[in-house]
Amino acid sequence: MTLRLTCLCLLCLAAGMVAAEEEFTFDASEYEAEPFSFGGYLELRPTLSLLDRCAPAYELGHPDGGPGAEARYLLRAHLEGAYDGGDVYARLRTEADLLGGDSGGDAAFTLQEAYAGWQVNPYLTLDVGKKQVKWGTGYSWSPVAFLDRPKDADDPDLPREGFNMLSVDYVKAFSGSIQNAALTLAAVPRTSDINPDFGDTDGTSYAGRLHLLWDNTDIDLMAISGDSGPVRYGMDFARNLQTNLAIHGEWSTSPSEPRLTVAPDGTLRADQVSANRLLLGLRYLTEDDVTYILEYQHNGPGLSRSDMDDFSTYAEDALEQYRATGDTAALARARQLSRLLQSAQPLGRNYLYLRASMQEPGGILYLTPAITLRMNLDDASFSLAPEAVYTGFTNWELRGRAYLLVGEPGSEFGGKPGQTRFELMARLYF
Amino acid sequence: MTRHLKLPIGLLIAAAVFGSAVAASAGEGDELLKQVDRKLEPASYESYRKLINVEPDGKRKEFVLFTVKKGHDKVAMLFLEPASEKGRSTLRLGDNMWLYVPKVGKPVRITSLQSVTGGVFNNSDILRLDYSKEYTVTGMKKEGGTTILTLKARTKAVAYDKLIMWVDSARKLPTKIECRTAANMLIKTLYFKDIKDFGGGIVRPARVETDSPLHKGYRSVMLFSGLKARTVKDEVFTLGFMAKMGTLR
Repeated sequence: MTLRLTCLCLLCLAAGMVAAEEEFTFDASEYEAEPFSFGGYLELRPTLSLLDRCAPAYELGHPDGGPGAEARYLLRAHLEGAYDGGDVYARLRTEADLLGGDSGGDAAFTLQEAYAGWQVNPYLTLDVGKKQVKWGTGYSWSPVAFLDRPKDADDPDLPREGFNMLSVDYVKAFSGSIQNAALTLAAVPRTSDINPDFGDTDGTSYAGRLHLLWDNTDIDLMAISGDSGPVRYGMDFARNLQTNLAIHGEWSTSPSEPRLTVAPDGTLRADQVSANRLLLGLRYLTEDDVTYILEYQHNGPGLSRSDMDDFSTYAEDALEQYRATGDTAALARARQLSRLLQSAQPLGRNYLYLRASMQEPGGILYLTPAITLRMNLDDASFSLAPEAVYTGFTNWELRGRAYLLVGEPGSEFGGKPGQTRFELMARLYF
Repeated sequence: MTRHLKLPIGLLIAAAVFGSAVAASAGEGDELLKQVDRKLEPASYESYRKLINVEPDGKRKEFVLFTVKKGHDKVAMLFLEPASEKGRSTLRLGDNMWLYVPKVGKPVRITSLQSVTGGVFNNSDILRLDYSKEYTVTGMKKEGGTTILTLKARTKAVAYDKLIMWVDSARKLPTKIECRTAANMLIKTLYFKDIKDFGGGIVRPARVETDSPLHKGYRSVMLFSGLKARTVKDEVFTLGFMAKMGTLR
């Protein structure tokens, strides 16, 4: 009896062990490549902004007073498609947004990318169509991204709309100190229908970049010239110094480009200036799994503190004039000029960007808390954004984030209306 | 005078004999390490891997990866699953590593101690080069059918300062590897299990498991399938190709 029981126990144990061994199975044949693939995500992003009624930008928008808080939501469908047919491939990326909230609703559809490519041989590739081309090594800002739209300073990794272009890439690997080299040439047309927001005037611009992996350092040299904007040159680099430390940097220059400022009397000036932009940064991983990204940004043609004060003076005068006379003309012009100035990103001259994120604190897998500081060094105003991201549920990304803007009323961050903002985001990938 | 010289000369001879023995042992060990590398996989290959992170409560997260490797120092990898990671690719050229995320749209440098998947495996585990490329053998001893190698990182750019590798002497395959700091602190242990014939003369463990005293209760498992010799052009291992990794499948 005891022997039978022992045998039974051993059998059960053996069966359990077999089951444990079989709990991990994997067969590569289940992952045959398909020529067409589709994917994307659905996103819901509600936000609540606590508004500062004394902020200059708020008063410009609400001269007769307004709400102290604003709730908004964004429902986004991000769709991606790809065709990989050997030497020929195609990419499609679209975004459909539904916006709603206290200030009304809106809907938008953006064709972010739609291009086809031909891998002529292992070295040469041709692409044609609407494509996002991201140059530069900076996280928060890329002054050498000549063919891209400005990054969203609050969310620099967000995909952005590309431009229509024809591009050629030639790449070659070597075995010496130059490990590989790649040359990219692109032609970007601009008409009223094609790339209407690429530069200022119609015509064709030509851009090129030479990439080298030289002695374990990424080095890029780039330039753009043509009808639609000023001539610009640039370079960037990135290198791992240790297993937990990497450095990067960018520099761009333009011999002459317009710099917009507003005089205290409301006169818009567009001076032609020589423009230099610089970014230096590092990424450091501590033993506690905290990643620091530190970047210094210098935006030569950006607004100085006195430029900001001049515009503030004009905006305050326009507001006083409206309140005294009811005349909306100066107020409307102040709003228009404010939008024009804000369209240049970054707005100011010198910034510090610091992001600290901790991977899986306390052993909690897939949880990444982070805090991001962006400071205008000229007026000492800053934004602080604590957040937590959780990706533990397969194909879900959950994020909670707050934005705190701190600064004097006339400063960049202190002048914005939404002094505190809370945001939740849920993304379901498919 | 002669008597006075005897001791130093004796010591010199002993040191020379001991040194040459150590050198011979290290040379033999390095040769064994190269054999281990080639038994684990061909110098240039493609493979599919499933990486499973298991939490203390049994909850799992799985990733499916397509990998190509060429020579001693080139590895590229494409995420096939889950949907949230699909299209991501990583590239390693020697000590350089990059991550390409489709929504970000450009390769970003990463470091070997980070982890693109979370869990116990870090980037250097997932984008592993040949052991003999990154480590040199400083000690070797035999215990029955097992050879125990002590490995030291060749440069400071290598993720672990020291490895202790248990090798099945007959099969020339590792059974266990301890990853340690220079101060001999255990970071993680890799267990090689389930020896399988992949065809083409490749017979190796189909499963690698890892646990770590730094992640108590967690473990990660790597399953191999579709491992076969394949040589692709060097230009595949360039930043511009990271967005096109899917065309290799």
